Amino acid sequence: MAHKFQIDLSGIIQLLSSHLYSSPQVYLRELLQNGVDAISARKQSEPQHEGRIHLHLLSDAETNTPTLVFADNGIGLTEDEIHRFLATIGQSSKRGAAAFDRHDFIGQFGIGLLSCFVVSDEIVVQTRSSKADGKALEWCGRADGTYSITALPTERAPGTSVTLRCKPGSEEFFAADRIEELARHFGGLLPYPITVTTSAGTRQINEEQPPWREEFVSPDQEREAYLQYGRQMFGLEFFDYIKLQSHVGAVQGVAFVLPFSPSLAVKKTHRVYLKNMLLSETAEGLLPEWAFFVKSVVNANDLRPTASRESFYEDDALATTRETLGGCLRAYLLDLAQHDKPRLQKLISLHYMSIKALAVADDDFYRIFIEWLPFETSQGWMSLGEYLKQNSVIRYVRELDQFRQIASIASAQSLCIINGSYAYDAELLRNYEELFPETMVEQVNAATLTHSFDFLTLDEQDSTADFLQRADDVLQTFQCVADIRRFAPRDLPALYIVSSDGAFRRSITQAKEVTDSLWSSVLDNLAGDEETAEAQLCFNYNNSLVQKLTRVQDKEMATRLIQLLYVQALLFGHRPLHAREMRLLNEGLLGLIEWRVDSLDNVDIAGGWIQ
Amino acid sequence: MSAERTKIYQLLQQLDDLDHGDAQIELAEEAVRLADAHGDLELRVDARMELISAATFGGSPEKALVAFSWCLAQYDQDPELVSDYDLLWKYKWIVNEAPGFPQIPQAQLLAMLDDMERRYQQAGVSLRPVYQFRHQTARFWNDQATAELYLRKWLDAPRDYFADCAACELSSQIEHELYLGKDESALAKAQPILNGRVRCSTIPHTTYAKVLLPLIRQQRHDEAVRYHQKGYRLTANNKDFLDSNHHHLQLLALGGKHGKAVKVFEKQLLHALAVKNQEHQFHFYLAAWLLFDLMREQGRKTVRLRLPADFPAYQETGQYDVAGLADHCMQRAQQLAATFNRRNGNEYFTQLIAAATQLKALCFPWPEQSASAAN
Repeated sequence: MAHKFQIDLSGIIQLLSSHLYSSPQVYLRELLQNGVDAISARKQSEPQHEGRIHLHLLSDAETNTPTLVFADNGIGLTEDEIHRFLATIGQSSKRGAAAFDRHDFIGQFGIGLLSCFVVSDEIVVQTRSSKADGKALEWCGRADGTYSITALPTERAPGTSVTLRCKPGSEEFFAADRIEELARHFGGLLPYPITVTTSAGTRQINEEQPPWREEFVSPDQEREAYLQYGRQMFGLEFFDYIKLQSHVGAVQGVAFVLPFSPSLAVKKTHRVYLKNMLLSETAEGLLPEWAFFVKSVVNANDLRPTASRESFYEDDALATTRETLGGCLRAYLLDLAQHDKPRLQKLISLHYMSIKALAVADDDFYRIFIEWLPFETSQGWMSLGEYLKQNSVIRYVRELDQFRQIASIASAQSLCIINGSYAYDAELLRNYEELFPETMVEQVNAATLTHSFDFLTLDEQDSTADFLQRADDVLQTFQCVADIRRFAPRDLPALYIVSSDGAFRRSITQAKEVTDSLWSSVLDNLAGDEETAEAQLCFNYNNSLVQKLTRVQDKEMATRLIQLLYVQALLFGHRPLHAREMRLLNEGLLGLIEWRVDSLDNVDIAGGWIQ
Repeated sequence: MSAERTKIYQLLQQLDDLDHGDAQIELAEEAVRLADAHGDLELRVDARMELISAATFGGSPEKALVAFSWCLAQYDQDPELVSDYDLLWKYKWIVNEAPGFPQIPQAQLLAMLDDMERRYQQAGVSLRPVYQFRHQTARFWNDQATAELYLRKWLDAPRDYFADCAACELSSQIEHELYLGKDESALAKAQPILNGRVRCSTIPHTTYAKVLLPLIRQQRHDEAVRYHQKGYRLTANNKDFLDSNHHHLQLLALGGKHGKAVKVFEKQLLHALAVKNQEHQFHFYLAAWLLFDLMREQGRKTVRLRLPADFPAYQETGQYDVAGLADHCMQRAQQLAATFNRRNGNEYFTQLIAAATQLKALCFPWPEQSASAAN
C-alpha cells in the first residue's frame, strides 16, 4: 500500500518564510493573490460578477491583539476543496509545478495560506462556495499542524474570509498604516475596489487607476496624467514618459525617462505587476539591458513568474516581450529625432550611455543617432557630427592613459583624437567605417604617432649617438630604451611611450620579487623568452634644450639631466612616480640648484658643461 | 587620506560602472599602478584583487594570474592583509584558465592544483572545487581515466560556499558529456539552462554556444539557429567569450551564412589577436579555417575584409585570397596544436584538428523562417 510522508508543518513554514519569500510582509500579497484568484475563478462562470476585496483591521477587546479579517467575494470553497488545499499544504513540492499554472487555484490557495503562519499562529477561514449547494464552512488551522472543520450555523454570501490573529513579534505587520500601504503596494493596480477598514474608517485604496487604462482628450492632459503617475510611484519629476505595450506577454505600462544620468551600477529597477498584482520592484529582464535610462511600471498578464513569484522565467515569451518593449523605447527615440530635436539633445546629454549601448547593437538606430552622440576628444567633448565637420578621418585611442599622453602631442600636430576608452566608444567608432565606408577610421596610440615623427639626418644621428648610448645606460634600470626624433610640439623635450607587452613583463618581474618557487617558475614560463623594454623615451630633436643636452660632455651632468627629462616625461604622460623616481626628481633638482649656486662663484658659467 | 588614495578608491569604485572588457581592465591596472606608487600594502592588494576580477572576466587571464601570484605571496607573509575567502575563491579562476597557456608545463599546473588543495584543506572547506578543476585539467589533455575519477569525487564532495554556482557546475558537466561525444545527454543537461531555470553572470551566454554543434548533429537546425541568435548578442563584444564565439562562427559557416560569418570573423579576430589564452585562439582559428575552406570549396576566390594591421596575413588593399586565409588559419591552428601537444605529451590537439575537418559533413540549409521570428 502507499504510505504518506509525515510533514512537519512548522518546518515547512520556517523554510517558506526564510527561503521562498524575501520578507514576512508577503503574507498580505498571498492573501490578495488568493482573493484575486477566487474572483477570477468566479468570473469564469459569472462574467457579470463584480469583484470586491475588503480588509478589516480589528483589535481584540480583551487581549488587545490586532486581528485582520481579509474578505473576498470570489468563488469560495466547498468542503471537498478545503480538503484538497490541505493536501496541497502537505505536498511541499507541489508549489514548484503549480506556481506556473495559476489555474490550479485550490492548490495555490493552500500554499498562499501557509505564508500567513509567518505572522499568525492561527488561521480561521470562513467560506461558502458560489456553486449551487454551497454551505457555509469554517476551517481553523494552527501552526502546530492541527485543524478543525465545522459547518457555520449562519448564512453568508459566497466568498471567503480569512482571519489572522497577530502573533507576538509581528505587530509591525498589523499596524493600520502598514496594512493600507501593503495593500496599495501589492494590489494598487487591481481593476475592482479594494477597501480597508481601520479605526480611522473605511477607505478604498486603489481608486486611482494607472494612466494606460484611461482615455485622454488632449496630449497635454495625457502627459500631465502620466508624469503625475510617475511622481506618485517614484517621487521623481521625470524627464518624459514612454508608453509600453506588447502583445506577447500581454504587457502594458509606462517607462519614465530619468531626469538624471543613472549610475551604470544601479541598473534595472522596474515595478512589475503580474495580472495586476505587484510581482517585483527589482524584476530583471523585462526591458533590454541598454534601457537603463528609464524606470518603468508595467503589468504583464501572460508571462511566467518564477517559483518565488518575484521575477519572470527567462523563456522565449520573455525574450519576445523584451524585444517588443525595447522597440517601444526605440520608436520613442526615433520619433524625437524626427519631431523634437531640442528634447532629443537634452535627453542625449543625460542618457547618451543608454543610447550608445543601443547603437552598438542596432545598425539602423546607429545610422540615425551616431552624429548626435558625444565623445571626448583632445579638443574637449563634442558630438561625432561636430567632429566630422572638422576632421575627415576618425582617429581614436583605445586606452585612457594613451589618450592623456598623446592628446597634447596630437593637438600640436593639429590632429583631433577621440578618447575611445569609455564604455562602447571604441566599438561605436570601429563600426562607423563599416556603415559609412567613405570615412576612414584609424586607431592610434603613442607608438603609431611616433611613426610620423621625422628621423634625424645622418650627420645628426652621428652626433647624437653618444648621447643616445648614455641615455640607454641611464634608462636601463627603468626598463626603458631611448630614441631621438624630430616632432611637434617643439617645446616638448621627450615623450614616454609605454608598450603593453612591456608593462605585462614588468608586472611579472614585480610579482617574482615576492612569490615562492612554484609561482616564480610559473611566472617565468608565462613571460617566455622574448625581451621587450617596458617603455621608450623618445627625445625631441626639435627642442632646443635637447639639442644642447646632446652636446653636454660632463657625464654626471648628462646623466642627471636625462633622469630629469625622464621624470618630466612620466609626469607629462600622467604616469605615477614610484619612490625611486621621486628620489631622482629630488636629487636632480637639488643637484641643479647646487650647480647653479656654484656657478655664481664661477665667472665661466657655460664653459663648465656646455660647449 | 591623501589625494592619491582618494583617487585610487574612486577608480576602484568606477570599475563597477563598467562592463567586463578592456576598458575595465585598463582602469584596474591604473589603480594598481597608482597604489604601487602611493598606497600601502593593503591598498595594493585591494587594487590587485579588482584587477584579478576584471582581467578574468575581460579575457586577460594572464594578468589575473600575475596579480594573483603577488597577492598569494603577500597573504603568505601576512594573512591579515588578504581575505582568505577572496583568495580561495579566485584560485578557481586561475586554475580554470592556466591550462590554456601551453608555456606552463604540466608539472606546474598539477603543482598549482596541489597548492590549491592544500590551502582549501587548511581552510577546512570542501574540496569540491579542487576536484572540479582536477577533472577539467585532466580533460584538457585527454586523460579520460583521471577526468572520470575526479568527476566522481567532485560530484560526491559536499557543496559549501566555495562551490561554483549550480549553473557553472552544470556547464562543466555539459562540457564533459560533449568531450565524451554524448550529444544527447549534453543537451539534456543543458535543458534547465536553456529554459531559463538556472543562470548566472556568464550562463546561459556560454551554453547557447556549446549546444550549437550537438544540435546541428541532431539535425535540430531551427533550434541551433535560435540559440545562435539569442547567444551571440550576449557574447560578441567581450574577448573573454572568444571561446563561445568560435561556435557561432562554426554554425554560420556550416549554415552557409557566409556573409554574416565573415563579419563575425572580422570582429572576433580582434579578440583572437588580443587574448593570450592559446586554447581559445586554437579553436578560433580552426573555426575560421572551416569558414574559409567551405567558401573555397564553393568556388569563392577572394573576399574583402577589414582586418587589423597586426594580423600576420594583413593586406593593405583589404582584398584577401580565400584559400590563403584558410591556409593561414590552419597553419596557426597547427602551430598552436604542436605547442599544446609538446606540453601535454600526447597528440590530442592534432586529433582535435582532425575532428574539426570532419565538421564539413554537417553543412545544412539555413532555416529562413526561424531567422525572422527571433529578430
